[in-house]
Amino acid sequence: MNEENIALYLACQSQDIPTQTAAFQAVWAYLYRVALKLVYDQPNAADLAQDCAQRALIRVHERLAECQEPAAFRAWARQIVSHLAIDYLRQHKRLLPLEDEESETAVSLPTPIPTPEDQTITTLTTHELYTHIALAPISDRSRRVVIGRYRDDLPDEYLAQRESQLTNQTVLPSHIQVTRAKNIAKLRNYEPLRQFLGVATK
Amino acid sequence: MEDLHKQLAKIIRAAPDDATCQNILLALDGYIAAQLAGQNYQLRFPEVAFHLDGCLTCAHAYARLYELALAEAAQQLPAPAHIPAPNLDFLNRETAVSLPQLLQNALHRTANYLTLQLSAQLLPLLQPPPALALRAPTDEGRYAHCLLLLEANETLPLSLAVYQDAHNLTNCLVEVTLELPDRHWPDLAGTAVSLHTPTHQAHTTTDAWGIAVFEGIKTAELPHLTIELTEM
Repeated sequence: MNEENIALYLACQSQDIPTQTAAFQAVWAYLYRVALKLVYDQPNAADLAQDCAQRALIRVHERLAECQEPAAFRAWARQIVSHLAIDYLRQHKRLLPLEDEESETAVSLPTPIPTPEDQTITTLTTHELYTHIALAPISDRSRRVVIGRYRDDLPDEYLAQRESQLTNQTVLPSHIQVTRAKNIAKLRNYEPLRQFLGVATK
Repeated sequence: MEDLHKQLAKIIRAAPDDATCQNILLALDGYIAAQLAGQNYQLRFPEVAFHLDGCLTCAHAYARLYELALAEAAQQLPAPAHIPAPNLDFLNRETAVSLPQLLQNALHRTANYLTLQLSAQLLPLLQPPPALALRAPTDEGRYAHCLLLLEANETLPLSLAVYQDAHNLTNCLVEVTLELPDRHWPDLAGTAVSLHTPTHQAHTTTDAWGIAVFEGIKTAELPHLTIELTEM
């Protein structure tokens, strides 16, 4: 694979037209498949993938001299198309599914609670923190992934495996991460917890 | 453990600002690479881990990139029945040149002095055919893969071979072999050979077989490689 990467990298620089054309067509096919994987759920996925891959292909050509490791040429090209696709989705607010977008908007309304510089969390307040989380209106899985990470210091790989066993469905670490972020956003809007954190700052 | 509680309280209190998101997105590739390599990625990249918990947008971006990395590792990228053709109008369409022409421009010679200057144009034309030249077996296959091969001819009294370093894939070994019609082993020893790249200079002399070897050359600098021979 490293030899193939180096050969492809050098062929992209060739002054021989057929060699260079074939090299960029090979890079294109790869970039398109990567882009399609990233935007698979968008309504115009094929067109969007084509646009991202085309822009990435031009950028690969312009920045070839910046590739420090020809043996990792494909990974370098993949980074370029990934950043373009993610930036597009972020700028057009298409990274979040609709239901997550609504909850994200909702939690931005309350005023953040100020944090004094010398604030500490004692053992007592830690217990209270997790008691509030245990009582918050979030799902059991949500509770498990928040408490699993912050109280029990468990990695997402372990939490994913545990949820997979509990539900008999494949749960990835990325699912755990999104679930946790979604529910921490909900916890920001949970008044008893907001009050508790406000009391702890005095 | 107390640090985690403080972090959770901090994350719940306030959502991160957009300015942080761009830096985190740039760090995600390294974060995911560490994760898939089985490292303690949340400990290695704590600012990324805590930001992802506090920013749902970035968490979704991470999920897409993570699942892309998984799919690629499993060779399960989408394989659509039809891939549209790219627009390649941006490619340089200067007139193609041949290897002899490029070599003529790359070679400079006086009575006792010869310089060979590689270039980005020349390198792709030097890739060896599938039956690769192998190094001597004493290096246990470290330099088994030949990247470039330039054979000597009537105007070029040396051959050049470049081998990938299997111990450090960003580096290579450059082997220069003096080939003169009127000199043979062991009378090929003692010719001074210098190698120059933008970040490296090295000097040695040929052995009895006329061979000079340079290790630790950065592969990315091959387009800027210069070989000098003196006192031939």
